[in-house]
Amino acid sequence: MRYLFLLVFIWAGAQVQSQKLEPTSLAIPDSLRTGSSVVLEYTTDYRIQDHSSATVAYRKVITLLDSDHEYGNTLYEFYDADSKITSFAAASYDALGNQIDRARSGDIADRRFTSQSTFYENTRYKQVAVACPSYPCTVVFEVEEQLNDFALVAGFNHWKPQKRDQSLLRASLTVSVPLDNDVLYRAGDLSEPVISSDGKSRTYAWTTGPRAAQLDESCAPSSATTLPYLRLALADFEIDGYRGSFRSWKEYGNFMQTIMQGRDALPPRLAQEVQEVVAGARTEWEKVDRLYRFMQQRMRYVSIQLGLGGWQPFSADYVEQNRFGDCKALSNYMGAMLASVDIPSYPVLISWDESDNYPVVDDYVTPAFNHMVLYVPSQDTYLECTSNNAPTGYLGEDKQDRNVLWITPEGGELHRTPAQLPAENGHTRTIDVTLTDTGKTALDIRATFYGGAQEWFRQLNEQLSGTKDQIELLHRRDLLPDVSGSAYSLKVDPDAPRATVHYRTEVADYVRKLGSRMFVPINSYYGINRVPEADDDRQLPIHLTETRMMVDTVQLHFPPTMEIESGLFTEPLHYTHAAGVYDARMEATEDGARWIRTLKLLPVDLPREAYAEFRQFFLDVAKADNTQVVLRERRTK
Amino acid sequence: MIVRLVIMLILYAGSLSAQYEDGLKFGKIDDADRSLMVAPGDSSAEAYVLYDKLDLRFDFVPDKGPQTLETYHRRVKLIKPSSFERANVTLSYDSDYETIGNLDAEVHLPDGSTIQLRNRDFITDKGADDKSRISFTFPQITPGAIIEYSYTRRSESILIPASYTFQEDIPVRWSEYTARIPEYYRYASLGTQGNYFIQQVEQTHRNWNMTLARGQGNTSSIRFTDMRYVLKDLPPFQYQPYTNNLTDYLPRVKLQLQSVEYPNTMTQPVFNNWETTVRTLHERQDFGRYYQGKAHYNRVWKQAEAQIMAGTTPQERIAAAYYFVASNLQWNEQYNILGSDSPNNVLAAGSGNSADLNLCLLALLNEAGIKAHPLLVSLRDRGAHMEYYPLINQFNHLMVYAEVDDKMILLDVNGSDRPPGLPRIEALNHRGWVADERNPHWISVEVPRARRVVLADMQIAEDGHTAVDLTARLESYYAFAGRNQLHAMEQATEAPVAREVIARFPAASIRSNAVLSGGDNSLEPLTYKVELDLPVAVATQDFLYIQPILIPALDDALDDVDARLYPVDFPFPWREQFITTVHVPAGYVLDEVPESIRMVSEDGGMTATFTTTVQPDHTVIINFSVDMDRTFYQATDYPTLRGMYRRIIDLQETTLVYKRAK
Repeated sequence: MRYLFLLVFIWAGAQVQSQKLEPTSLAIPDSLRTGSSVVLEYTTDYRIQDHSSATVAYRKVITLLDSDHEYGNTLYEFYDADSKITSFAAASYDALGNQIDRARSGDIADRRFTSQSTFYENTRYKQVAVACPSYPCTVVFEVEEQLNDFALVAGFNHWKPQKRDQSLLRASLTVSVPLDNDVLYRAGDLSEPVISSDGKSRTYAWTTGPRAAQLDESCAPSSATTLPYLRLALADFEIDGYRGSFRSWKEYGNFMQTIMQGRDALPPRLAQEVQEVVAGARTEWEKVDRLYRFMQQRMRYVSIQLGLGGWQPFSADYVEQNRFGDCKALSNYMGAMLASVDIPSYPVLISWDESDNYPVVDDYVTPAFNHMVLYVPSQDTYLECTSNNAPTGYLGEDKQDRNVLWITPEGGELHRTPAQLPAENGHTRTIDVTLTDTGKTALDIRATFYGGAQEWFRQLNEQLSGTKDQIELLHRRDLLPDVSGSAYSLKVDPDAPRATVHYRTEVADYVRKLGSRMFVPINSYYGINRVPEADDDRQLPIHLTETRMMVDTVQLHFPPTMEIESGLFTEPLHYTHAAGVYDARMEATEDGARWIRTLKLLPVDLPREAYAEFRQFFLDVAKADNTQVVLRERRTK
Repeated sequence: MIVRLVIMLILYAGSLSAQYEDGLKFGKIDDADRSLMVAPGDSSAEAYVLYDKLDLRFDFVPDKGPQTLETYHRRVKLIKPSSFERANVTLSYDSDYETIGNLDAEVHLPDGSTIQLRNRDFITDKGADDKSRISFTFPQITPGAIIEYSYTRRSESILIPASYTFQEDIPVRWSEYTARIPEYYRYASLGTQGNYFIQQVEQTHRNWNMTLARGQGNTSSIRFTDMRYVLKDLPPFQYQPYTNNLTDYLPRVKLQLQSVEYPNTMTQPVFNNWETTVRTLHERQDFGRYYQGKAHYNRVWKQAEAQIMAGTTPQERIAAAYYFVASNLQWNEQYNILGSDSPNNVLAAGSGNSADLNLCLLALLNEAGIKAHPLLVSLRDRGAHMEYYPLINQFNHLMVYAEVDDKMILLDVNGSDRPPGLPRIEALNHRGWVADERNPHWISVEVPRARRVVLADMQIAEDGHTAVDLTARLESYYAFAGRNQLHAMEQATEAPVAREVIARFPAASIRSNAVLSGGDNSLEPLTYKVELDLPVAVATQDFLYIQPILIPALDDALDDVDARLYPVDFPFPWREQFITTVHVPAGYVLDEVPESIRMVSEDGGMTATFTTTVQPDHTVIINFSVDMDRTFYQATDYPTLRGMYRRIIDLQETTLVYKRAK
């Protein structure tokens, strides 16, 4: 312990003496060596100059303790037409502080960013890696950036000094803002900032550390909710001549409304077609449905992120001419068609899969959204305008149960999308298992998938049109037992979130024979085996969002020459927990046995102490679901 | 295999129409194609290539020399929405020596209209690979739309024209390759033959304007070779698991410049033979000189010498050099056959490409008196080797071939967890070329059989609770994987062997685990011990049902298809053995004894043995082993292989049935 104090003292002393001292990892206390890297220093200086420009500079000194750092020796920084990287430096040092490598200008790659889902985007990035031939290896990254029109996308909207599997010695963030403006913030696991003023600007300063590493654990909430995290926004901003404010959801919505204005005029021919499409519709819902279908058949989703930080949609006219658009353009197009038949709708900002972000809360205004859909108030329904196959009004599993921003003519309004219900998300499946005299087992599988569970099948039906290809993929995903079935169908309901699969086949290896016995798994292909990993020292809370109702019925038929030796249970099985409810029962039938299982999975947030019970529930489920019956030759004739 | 493809092609060609013998004019679409909504013979196809052509021509540019002009023309019918992504097109080129021009793009809609893309629709930028790109997307895409585009790629390098593959993942109506090659340039054809509808090669005389030196213009009529290959009505190709080098099985044109002979000059060979090639390579700084010139590696040797020369046998010195490089250099995940810098500088940087690491090793071995040479390979899935022509561009990875007592040792350094003699799995593409300056030659890149032996001692309680002591001895690639798992593991459940048991029995809990040997020394087998509590036994009424094989030797991936189109290609041979001793509570006797069996596949390449021995105290010993000695199976052998797989999977799921004695 004394030794530890001494090391900390040496470290602190070294830092105080001069920043020019080369970074050494020798002084890292043992308590911070529990992850794969340690942030020795992370200082950020964010200076806001006016409503639309700022500079940001940061210096990161990170010791990589082993090779599991996942590109920890790589510096990358994004920029676009509204931002400019003015300084970009990286170097690496050995344990004694000797420089190993330093990035030269020729080493730095400067590339356009293209994500998998984006065809063209106006974002670029610089990237460079420095050598770390052995560990520990300390990297030093220094970046300075000039930001313009920065409030929305290119801006500095969050600070996350530590990742999972990483310790933190010390980090600080300083933000200065002119007195005629302000910075709005929401902190997680950070102390209140020290606030000072020099008469021209106000300065906020946050510091944190030391903090031991938080390891990755299964079924854990996002790191943004368990590690230090700060979300920032400039209260009043200007982007490309448009003024806006994050002081309230209403004002932020007003800004969005402004930049979208004037982009909803329909070309005359389209306006006429829209009238023809809705002609004869008896209800407003029918009009919405017809126009949504009309758009689905007419448009395709192409993500092209250009202009105004990527937030201003292409006009309805442009979309009509090209018959493609991104989420904003298609939502705007759909909204324009609805408006032309006097059905009001609101564009809605939403976060699609928010797992890595700080959740959007009522009392902190943030642009932390990455997608747009449309809301039709008269029908209380959301329209996902990028989908070519969703039923009208089906929003999608990854967009439910979260705060979203309606952009109404009166400004922004925060609302919550509907939560998932187990009964609307899951499947019912019946499997007839018939043991034949030939040694083969005939299987007849009929399953209907609902809600979130049907989404994958709907995509499959659209993306893979060949029956053979579908069967092969379903087999690879363990959803069908083989590829040589005699009957197969996949039917997707165009009007409801429902998909039905039927498959009939004969398999040779369902039953294992041993002398006079047969071992017959009850639910061979669809047993529930999801057991969270064992963890005797759980540190993080439990967080699950999945909602499902899974009902499986297996009808086992076997020849009259056989009888059940064991495995037929007469007492129903019942397990219950906050994360779900499991029921299974089995009964003898005229020519075999029937097994019925229901499993309801529920979203949960539980403390870490509940992990053992949580895991036990899934262990019980897995054990019960992988039951088998043993048949033997009938002894009583 | 080829016969099967030919039969498929013939069957596929039904009553298909549209002929393009006389060529196809850009933008001219007939009504039948506009209204077509299903690919003939394939109602499930999402899209249908109506026409695809690559035309190769040559040009001679003063002060620059010969250039290739490759003109592409492609017309595709988009039938289903799933094909709409095909309307997003990106053309990639290396702006250092290539340009793209004459770009035309149109979309023809089912309503009879046509939209031509304008200049502003073409976006030019650089991609993640630093290559230049032109991207465009077609407007108004709807089922039945036909996209069409053409462009010309001009390249200052005539060495390797673009290869052309006739078959695609969607059906193709017409697929054509043409070339007009001046007599000065002699190309070797390295492609794969197809069942050509048109196959024409003829000599023509045409004008050719060439300036060999400034002011010496020369226009003359010379001989050209005109080639035309057409395949039509092609079914889509399919990907199948365990396929290696897929493109080798598709019809393809692939050319490589062999020699250049201008008027009144001597023939300039681009490549002659392997002997010349190996000399040329060794004259290069980034190949021969880096590992042969002491000035390039003296600092590496100085640092490693004591460690290497402490070895008393060649094998010890090889191992010392190997581990020196493994522990001092990191692979930057780039493959190459050429070094990026000298070994001295690579050592200083701490990382390099695959050639950098192995050239560094090669320099050390030669300096230590070990006979060693570069070994060049084409990685798996990058194509089988062509041994006849001395083509360097077929290789993409450099290893080291060493000889001790006339025995070869293959070295491919990247981390200390994989020992000398065991190349990375991606490099096991059957053959390799030893770039020995005096005797370049081809060898079979083979590795010894990888082995895994798992000993399990099971103590079964009356309630079925089972305590298992498990010891595993892992060799070769099994040990390599095990060491990687040991280094990455954060919890005992991620330990080698234990993780596989837990995958099968999620309720398993680990009582203890320990490395017995070989954890940090990859020259030794890795032995690992783990003690677990497992639900391998089910107790019901008077019976105990026990699963004695805890880890499956095989998965069922080979069942994924009904019929193979391409060979099954495993990277290395292996043996798995499971010896399980089962102790049951007093009063239980084995009710049924699993039959002992030895199965050998028809070709002898695969063997499985399962024996049961019952001791007087009712203890049972199961000995189950599977040997896969053959790594390459033709598609026609698939039924045999599949049958063996199924029987082995059946064996590994054997259940022992004990009954309470009365």
